[in-house]
Amino acid sequence: MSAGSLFWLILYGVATLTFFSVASVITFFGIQDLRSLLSKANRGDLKKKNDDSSNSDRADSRREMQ
Amino acid sequence: MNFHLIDWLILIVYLTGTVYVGLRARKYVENMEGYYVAGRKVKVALGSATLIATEIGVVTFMYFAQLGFLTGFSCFILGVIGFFGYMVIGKTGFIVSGLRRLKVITIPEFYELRYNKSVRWLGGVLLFLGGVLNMGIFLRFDGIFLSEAIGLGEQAKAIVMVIMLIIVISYTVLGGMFSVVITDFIQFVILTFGMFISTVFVLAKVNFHTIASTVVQQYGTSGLNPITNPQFGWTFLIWMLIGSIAISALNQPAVSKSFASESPEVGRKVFLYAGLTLGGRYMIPMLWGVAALAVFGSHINSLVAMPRLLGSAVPSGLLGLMVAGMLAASMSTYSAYLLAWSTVATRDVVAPLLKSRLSDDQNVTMTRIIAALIGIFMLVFGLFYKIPSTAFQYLAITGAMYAAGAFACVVAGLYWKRANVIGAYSGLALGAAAPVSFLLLSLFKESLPKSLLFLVDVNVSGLLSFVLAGAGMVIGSLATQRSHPPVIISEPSHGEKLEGGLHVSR
Repeated sequence: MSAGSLFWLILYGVATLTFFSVASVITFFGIQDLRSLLSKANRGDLKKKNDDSSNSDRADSRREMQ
Repeated sequence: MNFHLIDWLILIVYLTGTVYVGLRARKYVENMEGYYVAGRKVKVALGSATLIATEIGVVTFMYFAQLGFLTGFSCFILGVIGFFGYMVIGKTGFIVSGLRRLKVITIPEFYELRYNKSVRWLGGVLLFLGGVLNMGIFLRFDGIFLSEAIGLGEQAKAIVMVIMLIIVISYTVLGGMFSVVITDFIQFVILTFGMFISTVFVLAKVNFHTIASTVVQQYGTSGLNPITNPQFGWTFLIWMLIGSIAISALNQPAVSKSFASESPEVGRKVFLYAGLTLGGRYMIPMLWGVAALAVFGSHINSLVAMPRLLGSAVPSGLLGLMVAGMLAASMSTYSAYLLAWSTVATRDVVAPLLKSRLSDDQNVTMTRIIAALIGIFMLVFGLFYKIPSTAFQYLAITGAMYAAGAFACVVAGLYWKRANVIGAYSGLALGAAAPVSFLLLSLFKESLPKSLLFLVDVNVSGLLSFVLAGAGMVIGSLATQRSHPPVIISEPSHGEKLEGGLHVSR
């Protein structure tokens, strides 16, 4: 096997190992995040925080303040 | 047929489950931000999972495998470049933190804050057109992949495309970003598993030594060196270096995951963790493509080779899981893209043309209608359009159509005080010029004079789009500072409290 092939295959090995490792960690913590998001949504916390949503409105109001 | 009863059962259970969960998510949508950005409450791990799921689809597997098949190990350089781009964003918060801090929902909303409403509209049109053209070929690749992997044959492609489309539209249109986030997460887990199974069985069928020998036999040094490879070269690599940062940070479907995050810091970290997986995301399917070359030789169609390899390498039972994983990858990509482009069309293209303001409900309804229309377009375009280059280069050039101008406008808008409205118009128009020329002139390539042939070189067009957009922004702004003084968006000083934490001055 040539040095060039070996270089790319080692890089492939590192990238693949990193992908599956990070994916496992993300899966574990992602479940907790998902539960947290859905419990907030169930309690209606999101609605209270986001009723001031439209960015265009914010831009308009800011311009009027100048 | 490669599929057996157990594979069909796994696939049907998976599809039914996804649609059920996606539709159930509808109950969480209580207002407009709930629909578009999941209430901006997504945390790091969940955001990273959904971003990764969005950026992996059957189409990405297909075009990376095609590159692996056609260029050997040379294409692995794209994994390195992409990793670098994501790390720049993930470490510094370049672009994404600034946009998240401004609480925009779409990128053109920033144009209105920093420039004016007309720039927002023009930016919205270009973003929408580039995005939809980019997405137009996704379904076709899914059709090819599924008909080859399952073993249904070419004639089943259109039916597979229609079924995929109906499933994704049903939950995306109704549930918005909540559906996208929840189903993306489930799909992330399944697709990771599918990638793992596929890799194990491909490597069991063809070992590294055979793969490496095949690359050298077929392509010589150009299979190992991206600079000497005729598909790539310096022009392509420089384009990719700039484009990887621009498209990563300004691809509306991806960046909307950062907008949905609970803070600018979380938005930055989402890119950091997603970036760590990027090398693998690129190189895993690329190696499947190289392995397909080793198994079938170079005479088979480069797009068909990889799915045919997976269909033959993965045993029954696991094949159903693998295909479910691939479908998961596609559905998460479609849902995020459909939502992102329909949101841009509603908020930045259609709404500014209407005399009266749309209510929240009207906004959401219009987004749903546009998402359904985009789906129909994808079906027609996917069935009939002939791609003028490799799939990867087609996607990169349509991406450049909006990303080049957007990169100039957003980077200058966030980090350069002298950027003004004329610079923005010039940047957007010139950034789109080269990719549009490429797409149109490719249709008449044979009748072009030699002096214009450089315009149908995809790598030249791609790089040119970023150079022209940057030049347009800088020259346009500097030449018109007096006639069009810049709008400055700045953080409030101590003790000053303004809504959104920002103020605008002219």
